[in-house]
Amino acid sequence: MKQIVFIISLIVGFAFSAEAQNYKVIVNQSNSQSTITKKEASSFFLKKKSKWASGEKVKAVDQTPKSTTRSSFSSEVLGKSIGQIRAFWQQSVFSGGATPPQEMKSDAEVIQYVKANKGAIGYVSAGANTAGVKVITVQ
Amino acid sequence: MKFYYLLLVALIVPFSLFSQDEEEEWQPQTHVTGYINTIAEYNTVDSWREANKDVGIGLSEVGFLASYKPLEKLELKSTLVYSHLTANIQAMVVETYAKYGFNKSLNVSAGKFLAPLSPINTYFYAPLNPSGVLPMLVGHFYIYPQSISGFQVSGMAGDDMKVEYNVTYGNYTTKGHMSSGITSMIGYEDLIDFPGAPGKTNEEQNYDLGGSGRVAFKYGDLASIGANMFTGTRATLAAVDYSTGEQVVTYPTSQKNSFGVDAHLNVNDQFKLNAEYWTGYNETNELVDLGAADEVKLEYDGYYVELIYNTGKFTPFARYEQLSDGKGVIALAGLTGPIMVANASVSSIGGGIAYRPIYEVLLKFDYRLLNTEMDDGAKAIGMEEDSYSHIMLSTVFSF
Repeated sequence: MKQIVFIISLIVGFAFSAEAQNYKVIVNQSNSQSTITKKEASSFFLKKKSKWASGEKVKAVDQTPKSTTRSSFSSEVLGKSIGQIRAFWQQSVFSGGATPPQEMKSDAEVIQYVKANKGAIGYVSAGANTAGVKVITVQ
Repeated sequence: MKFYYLLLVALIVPFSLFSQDEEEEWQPQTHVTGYINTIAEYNTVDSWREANKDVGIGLSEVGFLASYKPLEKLELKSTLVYSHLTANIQAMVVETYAKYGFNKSLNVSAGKFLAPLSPINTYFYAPLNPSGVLPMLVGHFYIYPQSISGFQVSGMAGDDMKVEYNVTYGNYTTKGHMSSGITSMIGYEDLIDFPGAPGKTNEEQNYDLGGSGRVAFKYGDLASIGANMFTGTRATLAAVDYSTGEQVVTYPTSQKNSFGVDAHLNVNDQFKLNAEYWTGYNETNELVDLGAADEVKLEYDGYYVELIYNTGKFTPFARYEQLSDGKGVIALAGLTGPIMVANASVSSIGGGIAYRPIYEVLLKFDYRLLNTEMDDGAKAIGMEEDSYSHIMLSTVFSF
């Protein structure tokens, strides 16, 4: 019986660890926010909102479509696959709306951009070295 | 002295408006996207133009869009759409403009614009349309032209509740119907195709002045309503004289005024309802000068209702449309005799499904049942009523 409970615990533990967040959302050091809701993050990355509560302009930055970090961030925070997001931007651009956020090729490029721009927000892999930027929690 | 102060202010203010915040560096941004649309279509029309074309397979359109933002407030954009029915390079350039955004409420643009009159106008671009078929309000290009070249002012105000507007003025090509698809059925669903219809011949494509305006109220992504108008200094109006046994076509100086309203509902990006209604008229006094009649005023109207359900990859939809446009003036007894108007109205009910398994691939299947009604003028010149089916399979590859 004890062995069965142990095995079940391992399975459940594995299941939870598999769902652990494998990205970190980062903002510029000067940003006073330490948390962000999924809805707010979505409105920033889809350019539906252009300013932080402080009045600073939002500068969202994406990673390339092949990035696994982007795949996790898109599905968990934006609630859409990368393909759906690209279709959204195709519609926006052809309709005369906003163009998509800049795409960076690596975590390092995202971090460099966020460091250099006050209103910037981006995401990097969970293991990335985020010295110089601020990690915020997505609720 | 006051004059010199005012002059100084007048010189400085424009420069301050165009000033760039130099504290944060802007990295120029480029965006490129496009699509290739290949179709197979079939219709059951009894007779269609000089050759009975009931089946067609081939490349329908290729679209290419490039956008470049050298400055944060300046955007350059160009959209080209090639169709095997495109008459010339000028027609391929659907949009090309530079836009300077002073702020959210005020953007000033110069160039050529897709007549930005209502959301379904963007269905002109294949990836944005869940159906492989253009709505007739758009595809006939009769209510308003495809593009206007000149200047545009646009902007928005508000956050969750928004007001958006755009005003465009410049010249436009006087074209009526414009065929698309492989059998050229799309754009001519009413089957009325009498000689001299604007758009049929190139020599009468004039570049006349016209303007469009739109104001829309939006509540988040949930709902929006809009009001639109177009006014042009030349109407898609042809006077055809059959009295001599030969068709003599003239294009009287005329005015076109179109007015439309649109409403849209979007529930969680899953359920969407789109509806539009347009009405307007072409009017001319020139036939009076020829002794033919008092002022001639031809009215037209049309509407469109669409239900879409988006499951993510699959998008089934249903659509109903109706369009009635006064094609022209027929003087059976010569231009000094009785005037008759040839008019056709067409209704379409149909639906289909779009399937987009990945971003790059979009498959669409459409079926619609169309019904045309001809008035006495159209029947007098040999047009026949018909009820027919139109089926289309589209493959749209995006990059």
